[in-house]
Amino acid sequence: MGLIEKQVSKSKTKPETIVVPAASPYCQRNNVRLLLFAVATELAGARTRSSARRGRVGIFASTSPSTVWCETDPLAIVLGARDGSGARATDWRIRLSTQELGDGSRQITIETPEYLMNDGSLVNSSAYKKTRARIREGLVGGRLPSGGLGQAEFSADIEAARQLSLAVELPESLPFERNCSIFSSVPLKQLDERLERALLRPAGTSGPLTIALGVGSDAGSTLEYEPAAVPTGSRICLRLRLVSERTNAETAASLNHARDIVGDIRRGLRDYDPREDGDWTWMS
Amino acid sequence: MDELMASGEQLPGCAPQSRIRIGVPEPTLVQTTLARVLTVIPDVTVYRKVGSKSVRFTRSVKFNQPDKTKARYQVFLSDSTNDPAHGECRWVHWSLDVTSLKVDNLRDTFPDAEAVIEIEPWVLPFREGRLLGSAQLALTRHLLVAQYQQRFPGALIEGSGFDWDPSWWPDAPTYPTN
Repeated sequence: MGLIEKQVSKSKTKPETIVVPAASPYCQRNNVRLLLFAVATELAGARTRSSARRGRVGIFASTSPSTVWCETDPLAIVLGARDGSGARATDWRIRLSTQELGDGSRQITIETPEYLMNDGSLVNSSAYKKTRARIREGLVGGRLPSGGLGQAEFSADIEAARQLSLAVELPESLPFERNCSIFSSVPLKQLDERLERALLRPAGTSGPLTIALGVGSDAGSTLEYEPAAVPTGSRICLRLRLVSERTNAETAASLNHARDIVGDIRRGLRDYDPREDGDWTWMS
Repeated sequence: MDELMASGEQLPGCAPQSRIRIGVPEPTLVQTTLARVLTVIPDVTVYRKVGSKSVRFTRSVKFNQPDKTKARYQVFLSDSTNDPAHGECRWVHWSLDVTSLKVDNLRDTFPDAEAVIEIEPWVLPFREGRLLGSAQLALTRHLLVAQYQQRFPGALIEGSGFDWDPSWWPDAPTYPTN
């Protein structure tokens, strides 16, 4: 019984190898980990159900919402449930192993060392298929994950990130001039003496409000306030852009200062009384 | 508050997946820092159904050193019980790897450091779209970084996701006590 299903499941779980070129961010193991994290959070929102029972079970075997584990060493995503003693009852495990090739590129193998079948069919097979497809798309596409929990709030990964972002939601009715005055009134912490800071107000009612950071005359990073990014005007973005190529140490220092500034803005906004202009909420 | 901590409420603005590296100007014992930081994170009581019984568990952040010859520690959130009938039940939720790295290969990023402390997520569990024990994780990351910042002002930090908002857990401490 289920012989065909068994063959189909076996072919679904066959190992697969992808070679990512040297220019891809996934040549760095940490970025592969970030991709797995993004895929795991997406999977966790898929509302799959798993059973902790193993062996022969009746048709009314109880299930509970699945748990997804994202692991670093080895890189893996595991779907399953906990049994009564806290041990894992695994439905399947997708493991990624990476190997550096001579020319700077990297070979990534996607394997399924562990999976559970029910009457020859892979348990939670649609989630499995989707997860593998997402991993494959991510690796082949060569773009770092964005959106949801997969996007670090300040994606300050030195090797890959050149842009930080922070988004808040303000009422549509709030006029642009009022937005500007909120941000300009945020108390900014005193920066390191080596850094210069300039708050550039727009001349009219359009154009970004910019906070520029620099070491001496070299503009290291720019924090831009762009309310026009979304047509409805209900969401505004603060983006930090590092505008010049720098050494890793300088980039890290810039990111630290930028993080301080964004933290100050956030605290300033928290203290700001929303009753004045209606409710606003942070975007997660 | 216990219910919130037990439910694994997702915290907005928290980036638990990010790796943190801290360049410190002198070699430092990770174990001492961990011992100081983790003792101030409050335990939370949770009740869990084991068989047909509701059993009281204590959810706490702990650490161990898997290999005594290496400066590498695992920090984890686990539920354990004193109930002798269920003594073998131990639920481990998230875990972090805290390692003291040699600075040789990281000299570009940390030119003045003598050692680099790396805090890397090891296992992150999700259930129904939520990261389990996210408040404890965020507080642990924040306190570890705060401890190093306090001891080595101006230490270079690479990474993110160590901010802390007191509203996430009002009863929790904001800085380690001496």
